[in-house]
Amino acid sequence: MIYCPKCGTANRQGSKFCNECGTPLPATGLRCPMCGATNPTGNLYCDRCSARLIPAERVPPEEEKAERPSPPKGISLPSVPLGEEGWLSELRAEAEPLDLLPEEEEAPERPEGLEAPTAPPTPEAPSPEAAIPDWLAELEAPTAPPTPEAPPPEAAIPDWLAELEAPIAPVSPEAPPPEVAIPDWLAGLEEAVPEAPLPAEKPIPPLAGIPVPPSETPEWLRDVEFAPPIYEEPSAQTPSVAALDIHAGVPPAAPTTVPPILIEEEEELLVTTPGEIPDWLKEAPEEAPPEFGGLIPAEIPEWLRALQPREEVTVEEEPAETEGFLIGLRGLIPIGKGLDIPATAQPPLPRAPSPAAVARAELLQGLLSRPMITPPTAEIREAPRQSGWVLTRFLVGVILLAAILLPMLVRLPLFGPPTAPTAEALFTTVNQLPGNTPVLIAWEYGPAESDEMDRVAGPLIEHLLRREARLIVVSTRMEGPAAAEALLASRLVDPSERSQRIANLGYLPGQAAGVREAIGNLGGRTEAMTGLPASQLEIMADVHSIADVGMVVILAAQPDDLKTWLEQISVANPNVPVVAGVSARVELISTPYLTAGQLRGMVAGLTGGAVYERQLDTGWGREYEYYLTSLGMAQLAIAALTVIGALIFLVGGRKR
Amino acid sequence: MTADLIGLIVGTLLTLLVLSYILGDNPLYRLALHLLVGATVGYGVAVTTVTVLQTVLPALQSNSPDRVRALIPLVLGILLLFKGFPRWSAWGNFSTALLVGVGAAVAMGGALVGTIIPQTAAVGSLNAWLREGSAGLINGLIVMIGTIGALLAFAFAVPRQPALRRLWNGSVGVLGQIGRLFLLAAFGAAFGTALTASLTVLVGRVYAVVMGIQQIINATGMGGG
Repeated sequence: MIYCPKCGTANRQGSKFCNECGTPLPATGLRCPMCGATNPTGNLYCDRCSARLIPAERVPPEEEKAERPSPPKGISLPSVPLGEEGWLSELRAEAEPLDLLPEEEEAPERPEGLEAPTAPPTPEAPSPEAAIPDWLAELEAPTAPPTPEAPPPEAAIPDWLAELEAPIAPVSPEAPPPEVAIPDWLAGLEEAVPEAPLPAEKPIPPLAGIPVPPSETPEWLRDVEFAPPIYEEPSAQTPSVAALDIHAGVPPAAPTTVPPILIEEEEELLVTTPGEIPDWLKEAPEEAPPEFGGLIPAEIPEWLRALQPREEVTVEEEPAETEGFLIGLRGLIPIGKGLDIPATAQPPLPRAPSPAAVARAELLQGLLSRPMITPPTAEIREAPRQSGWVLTRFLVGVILLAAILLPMLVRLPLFGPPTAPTAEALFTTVNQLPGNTPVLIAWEYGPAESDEMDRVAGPLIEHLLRREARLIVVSTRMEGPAAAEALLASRLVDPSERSQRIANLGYLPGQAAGVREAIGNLGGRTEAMTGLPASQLEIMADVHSIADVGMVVILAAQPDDLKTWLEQISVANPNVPVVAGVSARVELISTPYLTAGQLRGMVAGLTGGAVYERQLDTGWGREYEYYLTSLGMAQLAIAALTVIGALIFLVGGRKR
Repeated sequence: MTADLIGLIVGTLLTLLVLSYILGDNPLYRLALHLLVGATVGYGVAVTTVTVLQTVLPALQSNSPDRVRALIPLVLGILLLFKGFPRWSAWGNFSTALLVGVGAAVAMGGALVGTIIPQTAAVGSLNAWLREGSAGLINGLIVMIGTIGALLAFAFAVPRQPALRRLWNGSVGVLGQIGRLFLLAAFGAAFGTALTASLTVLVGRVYAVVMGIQQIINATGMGGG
């Protein structure tokens, strides 16, 4: 019985459509190993190509023939391969009377040869269970297909097969099921007298022109093959009926070695027409499903067709690489479609360039083709300009030197005594300093600024020494300690008293961090000139940090040095008095600190030093007078040159 | 010829070589420049090395806890030397990070405590203005207007609404123009002080050259005396 996959109704074996709902029912059949066509179960030869569906059994040796009962003649069964499984041998032994396949030359007579057309699959052929996937086995369960554990031959043959006493038509367009009784028209084929009238159900006429090898064609089939048509004249290409074979195209194996493939119920029977389909076949599907002996051709529904196992696609040998470093290799992943096309590729616009674009292109081409010509006037203008600049520079230098040297030759009372209130305030502050007070001096200038800064620092240091202050010198500039030593040791301090008056703690690396570290640990440093630890110096006996000093003097030639010291002292000990002797260029930035009270006094530039020296009366008055006069003369010269240059520029500019 | 006289002669000659730049760039000026740069770098390296060794070596030789304290900066300093080799420069990253981080933190704290807060308090202190009488008050007002104007001189954005734009141009724009005048005055004063410092150095150099030549003549007896 075939159960409908849709409504579950039990239908007769071989039904193609459900009697209840009309759903096409799955059908079974044998697939031809040569052309892949599906043939009704029980066919010995393919309906389409006449190839043998069941391989012929090998000729058993005489001993085996003697042991085994001779098979009934005319039974078409698969041969027993060598080395088969034990269970299969047992099964074969049980089914021996029916399984034995006669020799190919012993083509059975048509009626006798199909007495057991539904023999179990041959050992070479996949067993029904092996060939049927699980999903199909479930569907096939109601039909109770033959299994290796099938009962004896009589029991293994289902009813519908047992009823199939008559041979199946060699060529059946609609693949009538095996159990269908041989119709009258088919029965008459054996006599090769097709004079029977055409039945109403339009049974499939036998087809002529099928290429069947004469050696493999049984006698009854030869008769059929050359029998005249019964119903109508066959066309040049006689349509053949076969199941739709998804394995079409697979090269079939040799008929003697490849077992027939049992097409199970999931495969659909369709008509594959190599040529023209006759009218009777075209009309058949439109009407009610034709029945042959009460059977309806089955069709595989879409849902079942989607579940069909796919035939393995024969992989053609891929071409080898012909270029590049992968040359000769096969199986490389080819460039996908569209990947070799740039994403931004745009189809060219078949548009002619506009006249404006053409004009621009011609202009650009003309400019590019023009030879590079350097204007000859450039060199002519450059030469006098260079000489003019050299001359101008020389004249400015000469004027400045003359302005500076002139006060050395002639005493010029052009400038009055300088005034510097901040220096006077500083003098007062230092003058109030108690004796033997440790004073920390940040010596932040080097030899490059010593011509100015020595005139600033000299009077201040001498004043401190007169106040018997102990000087502790440090510097964040590498040349600072040397510059300090040069001024202190050479001009201010007697070398024999140096150790009692001065402690040069040397260079402080680290900029602000070095200053911060030094003012918190003055006693931990080393004296730069003697190499002794500061803690062992007599003047450093009670000085360990900035909190132990009575005053801080910052001698700075650069603004950043002054700011660094002021800021770090404000963080460490804002109560310690801080005074500064700075260069003229630092005066501008140090004034806000003086106004805010962070600086107790300041002497700035040569003018401040001169004022301080005049207050202190160090005896350097003549030198300061010369310096101030020369500086004033140089400033006047610069002012005059600036005015003259501006006038020349204005006059020359108008001319240009 | 004493060492002082040799130093005096060399110093005078080098000064003249530098002053030869008045005639433009020339080999004599470049010779003096290269000597100055080379001597400065060499002196700096020597001073730094001696200073570090003077600080670290005594601490390492002692048995006090300073030995451990000196070992850490010594290791960090050695790691810093790897910065000179690109292949192993990563070894000095921690030392560099420590230097930069500590330096920035110290500088930032000092700027905040030593400059920003005191200067802001000083500028905005009305008592400080009144303490010095009318002159102090005028000075304070000038400083305040100059500070605000200098800040607004860098305000380049203008409101989009016409009414706000007119108001902005009438207030912020005017103060910004005043601030630009203060900036011009400040830059002029900075240039004047820098020029004064440079001229002072030039005067000192000329004075040193003249006095050096005079001493050389006196020492060598070339003056006939």
